[in-house]
Amino acid sequence: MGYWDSILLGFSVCLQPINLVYCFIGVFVGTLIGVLPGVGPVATISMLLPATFKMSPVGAIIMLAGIYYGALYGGSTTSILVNIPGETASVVTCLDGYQMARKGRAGPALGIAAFGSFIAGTFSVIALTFMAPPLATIAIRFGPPEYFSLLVLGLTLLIYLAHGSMIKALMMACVGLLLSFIGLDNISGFERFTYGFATLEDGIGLVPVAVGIFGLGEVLSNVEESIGKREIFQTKISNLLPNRRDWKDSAMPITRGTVFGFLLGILPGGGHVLASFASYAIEKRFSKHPEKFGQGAIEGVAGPESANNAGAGGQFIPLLTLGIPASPVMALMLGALVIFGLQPGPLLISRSPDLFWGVIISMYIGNIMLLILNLPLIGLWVHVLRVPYPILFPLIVLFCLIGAYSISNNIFDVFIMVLFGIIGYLMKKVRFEAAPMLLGMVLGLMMEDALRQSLIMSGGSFNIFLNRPLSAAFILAAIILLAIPAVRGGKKILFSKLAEIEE
Amino acid sequence: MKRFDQIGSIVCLIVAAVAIWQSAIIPMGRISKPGPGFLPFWVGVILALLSGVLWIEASFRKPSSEPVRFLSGEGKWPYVIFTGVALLVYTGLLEILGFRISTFLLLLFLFWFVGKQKWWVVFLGSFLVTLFTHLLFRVALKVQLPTGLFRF
Repeated sequence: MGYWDSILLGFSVCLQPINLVYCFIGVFVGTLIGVLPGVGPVATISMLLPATFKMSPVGAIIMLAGIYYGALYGGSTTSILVNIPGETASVVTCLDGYQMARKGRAGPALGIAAFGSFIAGTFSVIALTFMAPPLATIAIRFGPPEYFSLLVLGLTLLIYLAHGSMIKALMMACVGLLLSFIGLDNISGFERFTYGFATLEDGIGLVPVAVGIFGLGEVLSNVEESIGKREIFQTKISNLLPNRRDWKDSAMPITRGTVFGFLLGILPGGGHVLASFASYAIEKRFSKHPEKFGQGAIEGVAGPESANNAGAGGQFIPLLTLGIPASPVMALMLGALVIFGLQPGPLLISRSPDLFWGVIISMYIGNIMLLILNLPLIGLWVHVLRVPYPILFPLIVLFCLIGAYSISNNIFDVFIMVLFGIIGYLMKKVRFEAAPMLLGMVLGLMMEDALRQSLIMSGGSFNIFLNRPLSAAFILAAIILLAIPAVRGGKKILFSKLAEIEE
Repeated sequence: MKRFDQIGSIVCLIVAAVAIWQSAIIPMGRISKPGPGFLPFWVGVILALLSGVLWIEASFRKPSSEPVRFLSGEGKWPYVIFTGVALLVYTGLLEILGFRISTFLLLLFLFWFVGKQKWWVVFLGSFLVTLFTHLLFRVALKVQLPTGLFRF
């Protein structure tokens, strides 16, 4: 089947009324949870996953994908108007977006965020359309060594791009890996770390942990910080269409953010959050006026908002072509596909073309829906922001509880969710990042299977990872990423010692 | 931050020690045919080493000018602790009292104690939210929710 036939197939699937409704529900719910601080796409998808069991697989994935990229659109609204990120990827948008709002430029800030998101989202879907099939063809040739090396690279990339200490990020990745090993061993069926508890035989579910850390942990932090006292900017939002000067200033940041965000999204461990942070750093470096950043520079909104949406599209590539979830959200998508009896990976495109192309095409339509939802209907989301947090947070808590319970109707999952909610709150306080832990948990069993199969293939020689070109390239890239901070740190120490001697 | 990094490294060291000890009990296999204990053991070793590095690094670090404060936001600390405790109690009661009764009680507590709402908002809000979630999840989406000992 050629590209155009595939795209037409995608449109025929996506334009079915029921799938359009699912797409709209997805992007609407996504925008809503993006606007609301304290609940992100991971928690929402986890909560709504059980509700999709009665849907068709195509409709379910279209809706879940819509929630994901919809949340990224909505997240910027809260950042710009309230100075609180509605979603993790929108943290950097607060820096300049809120300052623009304070200067009476909330309209152009919201406008450029929505347009940048639309342009980047559309680009990433086009790139996904044309890159996924050839990548799937290459991926068929991947063996266990390539899978293992790619997973190592993904985890390393996330650690390298961690916001704080790299050692702490590495430690969290190790804790995530250890959590993933709980339960029956995939190869031998041996019980590990179960301590006789039958409920632990299936391991600790990703959903309760993700909802706990990203949902409940966030709620506990907000309760402490008294988010109920948040102030919404009371100015009238006008001039949503950016002027010529705004477009001129934003053109390159949007372009760079789109390309960079997409590339970062493809790599396991990259993802939309890191894309937005990295884009902000890049724009500041490229800018002729870096001192304006943090004081209302439109580039500081346009770049990161484009990057996080492009990153979201890019993340579907490893999932749909390799079966590797690049982030916790994608791990939930993988879980949803498996529940529907589908195996994500190189063969998905030939075995379930209606799902593959239907979901991709739904993203074009979803992006258009989002542009309409986020510009002409901005007033609606401002009203949502005015719901007091003391009313809102019991609802978020309740949805977290239902989401954790209904995934397998097990009270143990609710306990795990509450436990990880408390752990997530503590981790946030002492700045131990949750993302490497969750990715370690997602990739742990895949890494282990790939490592053990590779060592069996090679008779116990680790050279198998270096003898195969692709695998060697991935390992080399991972080593470089780990070495850069060490070299930088060494240089810093050396220079400070030299300075001390000179003094 | 320095002190919390040291505490964090000790917690992770304990986790690593448990992982190493428990992995050593299960078959490790050979390098040419690794067993179920192989990777957990080595991940435990790496975590132990990293914990040591963090502890040493934190010990030699100058105290940060930005101290970590627990339970000290404007929202008053009891809210965080009581929300956590209420959720643990809810988890314990869910299968005994069933979804509707225990959810109603949890919401009463959260709206009243943490949300500081007026009494009629507390009761009406708790009732309506419980009813709404029951209708949405149990009736419309057919999600299984615990009925408890009273089958209610």
